[in-house]
Amino acid sequence: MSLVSQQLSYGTRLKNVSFTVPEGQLVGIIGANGAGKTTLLHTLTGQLAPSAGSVHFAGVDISQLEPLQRRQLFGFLPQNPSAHAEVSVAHFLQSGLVNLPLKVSASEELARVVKLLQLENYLARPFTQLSGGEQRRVQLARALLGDQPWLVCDEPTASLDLHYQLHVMQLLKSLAAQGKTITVALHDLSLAARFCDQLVLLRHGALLAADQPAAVLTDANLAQAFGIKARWLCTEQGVALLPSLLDDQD
Amino acid sequence: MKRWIWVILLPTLALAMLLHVMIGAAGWGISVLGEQAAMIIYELRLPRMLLALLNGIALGLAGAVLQIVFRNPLAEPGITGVASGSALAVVVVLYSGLALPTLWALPAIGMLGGLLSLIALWLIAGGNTTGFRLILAGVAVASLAGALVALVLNLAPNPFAYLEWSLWLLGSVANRGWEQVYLMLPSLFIAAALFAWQRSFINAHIFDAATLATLGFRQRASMWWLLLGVTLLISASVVTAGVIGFIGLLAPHAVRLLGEQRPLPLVVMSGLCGGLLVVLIDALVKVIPTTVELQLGVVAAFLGAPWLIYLLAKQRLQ
Repeated sequence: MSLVSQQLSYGTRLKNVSFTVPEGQLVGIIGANGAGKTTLLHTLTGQLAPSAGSVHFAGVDISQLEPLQRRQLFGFLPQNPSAHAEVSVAHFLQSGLVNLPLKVSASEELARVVKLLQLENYLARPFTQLSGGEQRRVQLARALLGDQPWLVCDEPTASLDLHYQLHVMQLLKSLAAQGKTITVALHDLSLAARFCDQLVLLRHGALLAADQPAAVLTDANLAQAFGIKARWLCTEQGVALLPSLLDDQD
Repeated sequence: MKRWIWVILLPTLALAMLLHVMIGAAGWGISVLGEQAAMIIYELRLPRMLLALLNGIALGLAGAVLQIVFRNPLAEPGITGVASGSALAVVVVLYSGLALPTLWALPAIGMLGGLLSLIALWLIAGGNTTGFRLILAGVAVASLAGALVALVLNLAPNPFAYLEWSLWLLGSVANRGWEQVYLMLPSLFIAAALFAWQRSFINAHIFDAATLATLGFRQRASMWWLLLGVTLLISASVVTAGVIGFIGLLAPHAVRLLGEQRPLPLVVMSGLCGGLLVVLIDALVKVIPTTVELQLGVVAAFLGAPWLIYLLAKQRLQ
């Protein structure tokens, strides 16, 4: 089930963005602050109505779907969510099952996401008393409930420690390998280069490049989109990026 | 599950209701009433107690739902302007001296006033139902309706009418009968049905707005169904008992203090807690010796205003 964005625009914040995400791929949306990553995710998922262009998932026009149908199509992790009520993690996740048709029982589904994010010891604790990174894991678990064909995450690794950054990226990679289409906005270019099958690079709301990481993270693109130059560290585990400012003498 | 809250709340409520019925102008207890005991209890004390209870339930429910959907712990029925709109409609009808065809006409007009202020709220807020802007619009509607009520009072045809309307606006359940109790019931049932229907939307407010937007709800429709329920509750309360402030603020906070934060139990318990508060306050009104009987709304305000100041101070400390 592929995702196709055609000439997608949202006012001046997003301009004619076209790309295709094949089924079962982990795709990273990258770009500097204010480049339009979050706007793109919201427009892709129909939360913002595009001023022009269209989005199709598995051939279905997203804009034609009712809220309930969209709910069954994708799981969404917003950028900076916060909980209001002081409820337990268990109640938080339980409430996240709302409007989801499940193929398995509710308790099995909860156990599945709890295991994926290693939350077994957190269930009785009040959500608001967890640290930022722990809350992030709970929220990602919430977004995974229902096992929809498409997963959309805005900065899934934000405020996570190094261990869980890798854990989450590996989890997303394995979910993609199982056939899920996954779109994530990412700040960390090393994680993006190492784990994503494809990158979509935005600059001032316009598409600069959409291709495999090596083809997107070129010197010219990095200079243009981020104002940096980079050296690459390549090991058996993967690649990492060592950035420096364009005018640095090193 | 905070089962122990129920264990405390329900017997306390039952006790408060009993206490309320035992107190009256003739004195404490049933035996002082003599042969007329049955008549006095059935015609005077029981309806007054039930009216206090139903008003408290209505205001507690309305306050909890408003605080949850506006994501604002300081939201309360008065802040939507609905109570003022309802009061304005009733005062205007009384002023115009229109002969009303049935007992049900006045509540219907009160509700119409409440609904009109809800529509005004919608127009002023520009269709934006989230948070701050709606509350500002509510303050604007309440101010305008309040000014118009003051104008009508100012133009009152005689001092007796002025006194009567002013006292009614202060909020009271004294000297009412079974009619007012019956008038409360349909609104309570319809509002409770609306809230029950939208229960999963209410519960989903433990999530932030960005998450809630992706959970498959028709948010705008759900929000307005809930506001309609709140309007029914507040209008019914205003028509039967005048304007009783602060209960919609106090009740949900009392429940939160007891440790219940989950939206659905919070709504239900706020209803019961509101009922308990109004029954207790009205019992207090009956026993405080003053030459003129105190108005329920006045005593509620004396308890509620310091509470509001405390909440604001606590927020500032955080």
